[in-house]
Amino acid sequence: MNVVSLIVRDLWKMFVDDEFLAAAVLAIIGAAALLTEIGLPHLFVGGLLLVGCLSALTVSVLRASAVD
Amino acid sequence: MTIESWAVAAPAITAAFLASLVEVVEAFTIVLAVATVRGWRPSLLGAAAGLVLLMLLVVALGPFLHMLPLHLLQLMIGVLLLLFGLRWLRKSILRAAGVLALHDENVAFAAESASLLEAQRRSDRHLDWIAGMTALKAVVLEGIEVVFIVIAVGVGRGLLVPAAIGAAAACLIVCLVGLAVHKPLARVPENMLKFAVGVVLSAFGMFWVGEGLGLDWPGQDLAILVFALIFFALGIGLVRLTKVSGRVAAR
Repeated sequence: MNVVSLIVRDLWKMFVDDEFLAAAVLAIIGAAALLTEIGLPHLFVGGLLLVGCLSALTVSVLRASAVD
Repeated sequence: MTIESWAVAAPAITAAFLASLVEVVEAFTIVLAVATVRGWRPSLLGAAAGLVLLMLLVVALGPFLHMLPLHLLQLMIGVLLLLFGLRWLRKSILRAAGVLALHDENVAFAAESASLLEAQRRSDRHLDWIAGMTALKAVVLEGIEVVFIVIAVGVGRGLLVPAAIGAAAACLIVCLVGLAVHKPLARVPENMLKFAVGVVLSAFGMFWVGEGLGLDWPGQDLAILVFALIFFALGIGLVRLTKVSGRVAAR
């Protein structure tokens, strides 16, 4: 049981270290999916996806360094 | 192979190799600590049991992947790769900037040895069991990450075998060098490797999320290289920015 719970915890930690970053990335992907469904140009949605993820990473790093 | 297919294959194999190098070094440190304190028998038995568990996991989950529609599989893999890659990139940026402490294999080795010696001091009757389980946990926990990376970078373009060969090569090199020097491989530039892998996995993640959503990336597979360059440039920029802001705050 101990090993199983450790594996589950490690699986979570594999993808989520900073909850803000994970939530922001998921929200950006969700928004991109919505905009694709609406029928906006692919280049625009792709650009938004890229810029959104870069911004989320930047904010996450700056938040961590500010806390430190 | 065409330039386009190499644009996917080369980063996929390199990412699998480098990521596995990082993970196997960490697992090896713990297996070595167990062997140093309790001998090779429980250590190797635990590591072998861990490998069997990982193989069972791959055999159980492998067919499930082929049952998913392609776009859903690409989206799932893309989302997970993006989360995983950005997490590694963020951590390596913070470590390079001095915000987080660098991972030190010698410290990890000493901590694991101390924990086992403490159990020995308490004259625990199940020491070999504890030692074996410690090695098993290390192999399974680090191995899951290797399995995920191999599947994630390999499944999209039928590169599972080359990616798996890249990972296996890393395992072999770490085991051979580790057994030869018989001490933790502390000189492996872990943070630099994590940064590089974070960049590549984030680029793959971005590409597969787009593919999963049905977007047409300009340049198709070559877009991965462009994404990697952008993530690399941002990563370097953030290391510098964080270092500078740290120095300003320290004044």
